Amino acid sequence: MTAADGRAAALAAVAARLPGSAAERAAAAERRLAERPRGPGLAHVAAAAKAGTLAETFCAAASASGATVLRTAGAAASEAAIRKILAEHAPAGPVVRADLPRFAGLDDRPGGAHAGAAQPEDAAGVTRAAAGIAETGSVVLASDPETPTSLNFLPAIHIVTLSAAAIHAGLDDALAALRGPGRRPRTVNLITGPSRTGDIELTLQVGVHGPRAIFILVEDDD
Amino acid sequence: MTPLSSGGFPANARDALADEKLQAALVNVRTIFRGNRTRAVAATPEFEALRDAGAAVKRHVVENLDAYLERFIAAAEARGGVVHLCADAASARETIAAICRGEGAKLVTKGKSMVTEEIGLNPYLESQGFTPVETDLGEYIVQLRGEPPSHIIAPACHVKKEQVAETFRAAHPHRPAERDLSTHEALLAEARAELRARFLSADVGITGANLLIAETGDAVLVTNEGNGDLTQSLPRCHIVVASIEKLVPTLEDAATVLRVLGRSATGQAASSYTTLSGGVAQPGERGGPAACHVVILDNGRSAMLGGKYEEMLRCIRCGACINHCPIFAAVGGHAYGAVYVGPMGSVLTPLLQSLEEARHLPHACTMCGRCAEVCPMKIPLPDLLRRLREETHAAALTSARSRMGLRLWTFLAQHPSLYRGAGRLAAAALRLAGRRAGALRRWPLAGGWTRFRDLPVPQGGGFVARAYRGDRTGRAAEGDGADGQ
Repeated sequence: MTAADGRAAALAAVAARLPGSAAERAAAAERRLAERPRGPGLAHVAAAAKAGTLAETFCAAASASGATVLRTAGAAASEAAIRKILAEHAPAGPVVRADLPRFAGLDDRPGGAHAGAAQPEDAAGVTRAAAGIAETGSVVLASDPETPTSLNFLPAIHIVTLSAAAIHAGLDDALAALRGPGRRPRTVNLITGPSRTGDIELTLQVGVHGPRAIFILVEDDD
Repeated sequence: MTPLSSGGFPANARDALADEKLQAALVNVRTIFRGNRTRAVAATPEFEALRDAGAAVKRHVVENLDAYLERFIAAAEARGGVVHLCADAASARETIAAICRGEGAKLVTKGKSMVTEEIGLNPYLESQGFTPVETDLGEYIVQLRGEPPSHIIAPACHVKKEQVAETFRAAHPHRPAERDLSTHEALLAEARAELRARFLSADVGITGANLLIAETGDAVLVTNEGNGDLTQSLPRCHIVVASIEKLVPTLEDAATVLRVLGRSATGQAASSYTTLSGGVAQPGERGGPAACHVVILDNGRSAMLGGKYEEMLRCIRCGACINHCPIFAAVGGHAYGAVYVGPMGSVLTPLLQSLEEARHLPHACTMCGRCAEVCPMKIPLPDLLRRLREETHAAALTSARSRMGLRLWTFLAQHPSLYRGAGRLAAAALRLAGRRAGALRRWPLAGGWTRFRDLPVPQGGGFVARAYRGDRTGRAAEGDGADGQ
């Protein structure tokens, strides 16, 4: 049996037990895909959106998840803050950064920084979030050429900048915003706090395979 | 690893109750998991509405499953992925091994995936010359110990940290023998170092999926450790293994299910890492797999469609029913002798494997109903277990004694005057035998009760007699010492 036959047979086994006709089911699916109904949102997040305090809600949720959150006045202030975090918190070792002009200034820091995919020896990763989610305190990181996914997971310290204007209210808002013209990058990571586990005696520990600390710099527009 | 056998449940359960290390480890399940979920739900006033919405999403998917499967295949393949629909475990195993062979793979890293446990993937890959390495900390521990996971989201919750240290000493002989492994931190650091090397050298990464989004062709993977992300983003080939009921229609529907998943599982509004990935790395991306396969498994699920167990296909594998089950809390996961444990497992195992082999599992339930109360997908687990009990009875898979007892009871229940007479007789006999102590140490056919506690002597009138008298207070009348039926 070829792969195509196997697929057809498996689909037929499913279809044979479903109510209605195949055409009716296809129409029902198309309707939902077109209408994209939303589930219930969270009231406190909707209230924050209305009051214009999504950045505050985001900061509170991200802090609760174990991230260290700082507000900065813009890109220049962020760079100073990043240098300070690297000096105080990063273990000795190279720094990998997103390939964006705003981070190029980091290359002349003591120890330097390099752009591109993260290497096993990199101690800290500096990158930029495409968006944030107030509901969960998550940053949204896409695997665009400038911001490889490896920056988010290989280094022990993860530093992320996020524009306050890019904070969505709900998880559904953030996921819906992934739709758009052009090809989606392969990977989108929603990251909420540091790497953690409870796998030994259900005791919470941070820094399993991914970063043991995440710093989020929420930038007000400059 | 010895093959799993659910037929041994009664003996396994007895052993588990006598296992002091296991009992000490299970205390954590009862306290930590339940407390975390309770706090998360209390902090989310919308939780009930989210449960309803989540259950509605999955109900809609199940009713239109073929349409969403076709849509997912088209979307994933448009992004450079290859989708394989596999009817059974053997075809899924062979498909995955063929992909690994095509990649010239040796080392295969794995994120946590219950579906790969279901199809027995690791032993098969080993038999084909590959080296599968589990990277979730709990899965790594049970793989080294040669055990199956004992819980779907906390695979090593039956193990104490001293046992983990023993396991690591045996598995990592290249490390200094005198090293200190007495703390959680030391164990974590050693696992991180060991697995880091595997992540970096793996040829193929295999993960499960919590959701498959039909609209976009994305697989959604939820983890706290980040192991699933290193598994899927570093090797040149990523294989997703998921079952047919993991589909959701849209990104919005994914959000609804994710909102109840984390809260139900670990009490988190969002797990540390929620990753959407679809197809292969796009031109210009630095890193990410050049090949991506999605293996979608049926393995008995389509047979549940349209039948009396269809509601089980809404399950999102959060583990809440397991964490709240008094049976699981008493005996742990291994006693079930199955990949899926607790209430959800006692429904799935007979359906996906065989009712005969798993005949004890639907009876491993007190009908307390807590699992249905906490299920984020509102699956009526006790009802499904009761239906399976009926099937074991009808197929004569229960003991001859219990079937005879049920036949006797059925006869009596259909003859009310005989029923009342027999009840009177039994109550009188109990009272007579226990008239001194007010309780009985032994009673024929009641050994299961009296082995652990006294059987109290009936007090006052029976329920039916009181109902006839219009007594709705539920209390026996004062001085109602006579039979009163």
